[in-house]
Amino acid sequence: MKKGLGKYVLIRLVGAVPLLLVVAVIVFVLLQYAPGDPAELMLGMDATPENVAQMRVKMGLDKPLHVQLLRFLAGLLRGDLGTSWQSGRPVAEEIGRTLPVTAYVSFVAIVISSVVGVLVGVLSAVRQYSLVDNIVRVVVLAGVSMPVFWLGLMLIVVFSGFLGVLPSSGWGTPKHLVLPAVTLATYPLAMITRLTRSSMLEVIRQDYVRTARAKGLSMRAVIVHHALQNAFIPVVTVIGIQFGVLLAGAVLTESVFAIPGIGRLTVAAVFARDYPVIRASVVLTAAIFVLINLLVDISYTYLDPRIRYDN
Amino acid sequence: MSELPGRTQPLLEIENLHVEYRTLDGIVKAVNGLNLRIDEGKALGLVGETGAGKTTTALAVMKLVPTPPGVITAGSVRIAGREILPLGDAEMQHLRGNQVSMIFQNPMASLNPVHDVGSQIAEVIRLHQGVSPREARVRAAGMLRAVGIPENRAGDFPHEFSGGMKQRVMIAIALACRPRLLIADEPTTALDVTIQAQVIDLIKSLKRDYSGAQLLITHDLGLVAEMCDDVAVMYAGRVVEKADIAELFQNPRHPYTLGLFGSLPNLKKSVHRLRSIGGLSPDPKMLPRGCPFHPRCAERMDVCTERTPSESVVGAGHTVCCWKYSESGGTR
Amino acid sequence: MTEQLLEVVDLVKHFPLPRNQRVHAVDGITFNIAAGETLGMVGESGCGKTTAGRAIVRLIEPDRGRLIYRGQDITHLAGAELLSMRRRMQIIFQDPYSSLDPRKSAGQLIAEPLLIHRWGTRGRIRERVRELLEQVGLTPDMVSKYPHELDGGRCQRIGIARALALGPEFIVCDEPVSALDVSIQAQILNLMKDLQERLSLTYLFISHNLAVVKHISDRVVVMYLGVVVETAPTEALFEDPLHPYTQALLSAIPIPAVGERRSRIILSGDVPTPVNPGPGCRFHKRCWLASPVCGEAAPKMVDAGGGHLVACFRVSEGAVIQ
Repeated sequence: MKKGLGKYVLIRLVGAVPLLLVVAVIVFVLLQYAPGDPAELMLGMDATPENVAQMRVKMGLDKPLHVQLLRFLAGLLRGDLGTSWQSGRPVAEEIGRTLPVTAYVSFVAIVISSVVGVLVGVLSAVRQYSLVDNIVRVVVLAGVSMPVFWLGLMLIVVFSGFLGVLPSSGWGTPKHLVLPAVTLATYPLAMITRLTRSSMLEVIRQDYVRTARAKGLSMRAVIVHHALQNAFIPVVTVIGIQFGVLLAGAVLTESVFAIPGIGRLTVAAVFARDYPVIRASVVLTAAIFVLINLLVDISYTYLDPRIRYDN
Repeated sequence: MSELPGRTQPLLEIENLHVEYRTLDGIVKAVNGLNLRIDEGKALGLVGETGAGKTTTALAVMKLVPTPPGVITAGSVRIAGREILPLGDAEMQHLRGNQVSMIFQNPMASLNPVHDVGSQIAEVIRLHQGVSPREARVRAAGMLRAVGIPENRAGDFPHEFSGGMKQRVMIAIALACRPRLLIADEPTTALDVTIQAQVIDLIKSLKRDYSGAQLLITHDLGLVAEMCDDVAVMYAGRVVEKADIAELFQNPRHPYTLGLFGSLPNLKKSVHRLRSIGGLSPDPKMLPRGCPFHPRCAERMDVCTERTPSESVVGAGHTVCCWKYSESGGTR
Repeated sequence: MTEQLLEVVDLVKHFPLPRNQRVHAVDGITFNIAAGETLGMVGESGCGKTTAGRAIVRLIEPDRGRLIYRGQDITHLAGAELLSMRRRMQIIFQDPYSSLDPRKSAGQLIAEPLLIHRWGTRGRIRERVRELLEQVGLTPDMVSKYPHELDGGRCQRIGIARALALGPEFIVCDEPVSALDVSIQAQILNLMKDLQERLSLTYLFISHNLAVVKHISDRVVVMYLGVVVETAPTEALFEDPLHPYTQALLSAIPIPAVGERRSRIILSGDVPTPVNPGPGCRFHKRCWLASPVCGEAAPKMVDAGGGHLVACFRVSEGAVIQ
């Protein structure tokens, strides 16, 4: 481990706390402007005003706004995310049930897209304007432009409908993982391929690549030992961002494949005005991005010796 | 070498070299029938202005002309008598960094920013000398010492060095395998004057120990006078004049060479106006007919606009490509 | 000497860095420029010559010191007064490509200062642009060309025409020929000399190229790490340099002639950065003649006679140089 890493990580994590609190305040305030009374929604159309008033007391909605906010923030700082209005279970438990599912699919998807994207991107760059490169560029364009839910539906039609080799929805077996992971991987894969290609093209025109060729290294050795690490630096950022996006919950994909992940949890909570769950999932998303950014920054310092921990 | 007294073996011989870049905007004729030879142990300065084809010539000798768009369309390049243009990748990789090596103009960008300098030197040693990684590191440290950098800096990265120090590291890489030919492309152009002096001094002192012949590419006639035995002046992809330095500096013949000297502000004597050459270097996509210099030449004759002059001998080892000096008086 | 055009008095410009560090880019420089002369300013990268040039025409604000132009203190001019001063002082930059807006034609580039200063009617401005093109040796058809269609020499001619547009009397030339090939460099140097004679211009000519500076300058200022170490008439400086740094600098230039064996002074070490320099002579760490006093206090400029000023203890204490 590099010198000063621990201190650097600590500073970054402590610095994230105020940021997350600001996010929490913003989501709290925004939800006040959401249409519809959560208590009415919970009870349905037939509820009497008395029932609604009782429900509001039960949910704590009768308290002044600043008291509600302070309770929420105080809970957050203690690690208490509150209780879901809809299910009556602790929010932490709901998230604990759904996050691992999302994390699992996202991780598989990001690994597929990183490995394939970097390999194809490098190949495409090294053979610029070749047939391979042209095909890659068209496929990448399709990949970034294709709506994810449409792709998911097409995959279901082909692999579940016509071929019948994979289940169309649900969760539990490795087979259930394949279509969602492929669907989720498509966009990041296209992005990573495109960025790796352009980054690699830039790097192989650098003087130090010419120096390496002048030493007598083969093109393959030059790519592997000299170009790749340099070209990888901007790609890491994109991998990090894409992973964050996946972890935040792929609402559409999870809905299409009926996966019990955090995306679906959040959507259900929004429809039910289940504020505690909405707030928790937004703050969680922010925390995930903070962590991933930190990981990306740490990886920079290993990839590029010019970047150091100070400040 | 001993069988021909007074005439040493040529280490590098280039004959009728043609290199072009086929771009979307047209064909850039970078090198157009270049002839050059460097004898064993000698340093030749290749002088010319931007776009004259100096760097392309050097890259052709390394067979590193970026392809596409570059193509070596004709000619012969022999290193120590061996023709290299037909050689395949593997054979060229064996030559590069080993028999022929190169120092580039911009030391800031010529080292890989993500590897420490010791490993960048050790890499070339391992590649060509087949030694263990540990032994290569030891020899790399020795090379660092030879170029005036303390060994304990082998683990430092390029960004921790100044421009002059980076160029020293490049020199260490280039000389690590004791090449028979060292090509230095504007090795000091990016450096400050006092640092340039250090680097020149270093190359000169190392030349005795490490390298056979040298090809120094520069736009600076001062640098040539300082470092070289022979000089070739390049214009529009051809060598227009060559001689040993004493001859060329005292007795320049080609109108372009004369123009170059006239353009240089002189530190020794004051002139009110410089004798500049009018006009611009020709566009290598549209080279003029005849002698490429004729549109700028004050001594232009009719034949100059029609046919390209070939080499005429005007003195011992002194040749000029100019109709003025052609034996047939330009009527051939 | 003739009338002083510009007096630079103890000019200081520092740039802040993180962690309380400061770049002492220009650290108290003093010199004069006489009307009609060319003052050369030489030094290596980081010596502060570009910062000095820009501070003198008020493109960057000096931290301290005074600029006196024809007797008037212009250090703190602002608004309309500064604008009218700009008509008299202009600057030419090093890189002719990046200092011209690529989306403007040569005509628009040259007309721009005229428009800003409401110089005259459209018709008169068009006439003036044509006149300027001719003055800098460009043909009238160049008026519609864009910078990317032109070579470096022609771009630099446009830069010069632009600087001349408002009829200035003083031009700071910041490495105007450094990016050009030798034959083009000679054309531009000749042009600048011709213009100076025809328009009675005064130049501050900044360059790292000593041969060029010697060719064009009447007097030379040598800078090292933000300070002036030596000032002298050109002949005196090149014949008899007094400061050890100047001596090393001159001896380091490769001379395009054969058979001249010179004793060279090769300085060890790198050019230090001007970040938080310590006390003492800026050069003492690389100086082969340094004595303990050089590390303790900064030497003052002393007159060695004939307008030859030098900041070195060996001269001020009467020690023999060399």
